[in-house]
Amino acid sequence: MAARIGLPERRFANHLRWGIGLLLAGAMGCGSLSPDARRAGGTGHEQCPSCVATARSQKTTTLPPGAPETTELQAMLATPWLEPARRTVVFPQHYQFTTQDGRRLRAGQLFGKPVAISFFYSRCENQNKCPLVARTMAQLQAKLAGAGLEKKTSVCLMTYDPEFDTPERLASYGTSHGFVFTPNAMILRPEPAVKRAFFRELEATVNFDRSDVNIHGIQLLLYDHRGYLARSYHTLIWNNEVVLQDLRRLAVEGGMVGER
Amino acid sequence: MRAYLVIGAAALSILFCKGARAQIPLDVLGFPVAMELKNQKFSPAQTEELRGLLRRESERTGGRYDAAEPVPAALARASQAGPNALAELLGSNDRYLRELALRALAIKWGPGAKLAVPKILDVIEAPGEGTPAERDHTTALAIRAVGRIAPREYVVINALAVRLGRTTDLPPAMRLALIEVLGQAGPSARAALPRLNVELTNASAQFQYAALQAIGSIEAIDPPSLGDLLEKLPTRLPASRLPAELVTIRKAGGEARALVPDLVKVAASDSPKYLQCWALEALAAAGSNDLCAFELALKRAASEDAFVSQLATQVLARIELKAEQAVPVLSQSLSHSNVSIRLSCAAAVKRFGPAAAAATGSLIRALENCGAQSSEDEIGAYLEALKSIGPAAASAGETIVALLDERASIFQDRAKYQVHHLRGFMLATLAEIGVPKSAWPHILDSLANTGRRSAYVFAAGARAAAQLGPAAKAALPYLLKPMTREISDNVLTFETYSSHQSSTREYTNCLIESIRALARMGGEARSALPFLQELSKPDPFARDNPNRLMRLPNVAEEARNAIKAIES
Repeated sequence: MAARIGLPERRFANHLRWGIGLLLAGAMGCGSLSPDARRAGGTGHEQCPSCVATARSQKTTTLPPGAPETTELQAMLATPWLEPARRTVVFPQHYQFTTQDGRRLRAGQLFGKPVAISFFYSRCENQNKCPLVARTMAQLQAKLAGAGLEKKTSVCLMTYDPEFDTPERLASYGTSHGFVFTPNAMILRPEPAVKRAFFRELEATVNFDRSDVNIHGIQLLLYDHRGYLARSYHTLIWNNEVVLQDLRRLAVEGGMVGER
Repeated sequence: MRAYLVIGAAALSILFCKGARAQIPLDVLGFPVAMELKNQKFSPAQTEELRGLLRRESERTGGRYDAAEPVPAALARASQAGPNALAELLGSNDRYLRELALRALAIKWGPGAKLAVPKILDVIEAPGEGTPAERDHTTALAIRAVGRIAPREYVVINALAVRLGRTTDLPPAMRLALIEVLGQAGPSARAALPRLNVELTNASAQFQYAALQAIGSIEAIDPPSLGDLLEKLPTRLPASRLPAELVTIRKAGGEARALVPDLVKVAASDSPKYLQCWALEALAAAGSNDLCAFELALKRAASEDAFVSQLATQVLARIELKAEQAVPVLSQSLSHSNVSIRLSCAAAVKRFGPAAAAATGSLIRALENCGAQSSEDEIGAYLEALKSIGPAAASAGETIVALLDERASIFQDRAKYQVHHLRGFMLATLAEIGVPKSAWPHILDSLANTGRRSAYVFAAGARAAAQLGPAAKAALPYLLKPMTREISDNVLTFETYSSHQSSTREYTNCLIESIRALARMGGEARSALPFLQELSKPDPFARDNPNRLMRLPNVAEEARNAIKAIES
């Protein structure tokens, strides 16, 4: 069977490329997405007019019990946006980190501006998880720069595997995935001795076999300038366009930029 | 043309390799030892000792000795001269080499190695250097070896009976080996009967029962007729008769059910453990539809003695009660503090299938209580039970979804492959009982984020997505992954948790599950038609032999069915 599929490989690959593109755009109901957002599978389209329209039209189709509607599904892949007064989950303050250039950093030093945090580990062999997360974070960084927000917000990647991921490895991993290190864009390594407690407190979707990661999800946490959690994206890779809007909103809240 | 050349070259290379391998006569030592020789990297000291042995053996038999020849091959060749070389190896100071020789003598040579018996008996008396555990291991191996080579020799029986009687704190493996080997000798070992009768009072049920069987084998009493057996109560019989009675019960099967009330009494009494074990084994042989037998077996399955617990589990598997009688008892026992009893109950619930729907609540609570300390088998047993109940167990859906969370304690401190297997089987269970809304992120995760090598999780996710029909359209792009070889096409089954074998020889893979999910999606999967049309063309390499060990559904046929479903 595999051999048969392989024969018209090039034509087949082309079919697939535009096929998936069309399907994703169709499934997400959003024709204005950037290429990376198309690949991403998209979440948090509540504010996107075309998605809202699609969702409305989908309400007329008959769904079997148990199947969520599209908007419901999107809601399942991200937590609802919390207004400042309703934010109660704060980033754990009593931990320290090492950056990719070997600097020591207290949790409190991360804040003062909105922060987007995601997770990975360099030994992850699943191309659909950590490498994709790292590349998407690098693209988010580029988008923030394009929107003039690169100094008003921070972007952090955090390793699940501090035993193996030395600062040197983190620096090399970040660079090879397009991440540009600045005072507002860094990779962090928690203390190995307290990593389980830290990730548990953070409610990160990860579990360990002794010291190795045995399972982990995809997760992006958005904190406001005070260190309060405003929203999280999970399960599928997030849509950077939507995250950009969220971060802009957090920057406005914190007084880093004026309202447009 | 080029493809044919490549196939031809591959076939030739396989033939050539096979031929080359066949020239190494490792099999003369017997399969297990030959395998060990193949895989073992001898230490320099071991190699030196083996080379010395081979040199002497060559000189003795006038054979060829080539110092450049690898030791395993040379040893295998040398051993064709007989067990002498191996017997000489029994005197080695190296424990590994001594054990290697014992296994080779027992497995390859058996009764043909009688000349080595005195040396093996020496090993039983003085197993050489090593830790106590290592010495016990060597001794037990020597006992088993002599049991294969000369079980009926007076000198052997005498030596073993003396060894059994000499100390009261023999290591378990050695004691069991002595009892069983004496039993294998049959009537020739009559001299060992007094010693074996003493073993009937051992604290462990396993040793008592092994002694009972050995005594039966030595006494070699003819099995009575079923009529005779039904007239006498087993408790009044001497121990030596019991194994013969068991033979009769096994032969009679269901016809011996008249004995069940008596057997239950014996198994429930404070009688000696060997008698309780005998009654349990007889109950398992006779089968039963007796509620008392069922409750007794459940109680005994919780025994602290692992041997009794194992026998009771066999009884449970043979009891044929109606669901309305058994399920209430099973449901109650699913919360028992003893894990063996919970496992037995889950297995029994599974046998009842949808008729055990009333046990769903207990299974949910049992699953909720699972954590990092629970064995994989236990979690798997509950999932299997729910899966066999089917849609009537839909209320377990949310519990399973909670366990699918990456942070769930059941994943803590388990290896990656175990975590993947657990998650895959949970999704497969959801596909059978019904997929709740909250499972959607996990289904998407299994389809979108699974790595190339995690076919099990992907296939389970596709199966769960199929249950949602047209509403699974958000998963459509990911369901195409097997068609572009982004995920491996390993053959797999979701029949049971712990086995990768299917009892029906029917298997599946990611591609089949994806095609079926697309078919269930109907018109929503229209954009997948080009892929399905490609797959629907007859495959010249397809082998639809119904006698194959692993049967996969025909991909082209599945694709055609899917196209029909989508276009209609």
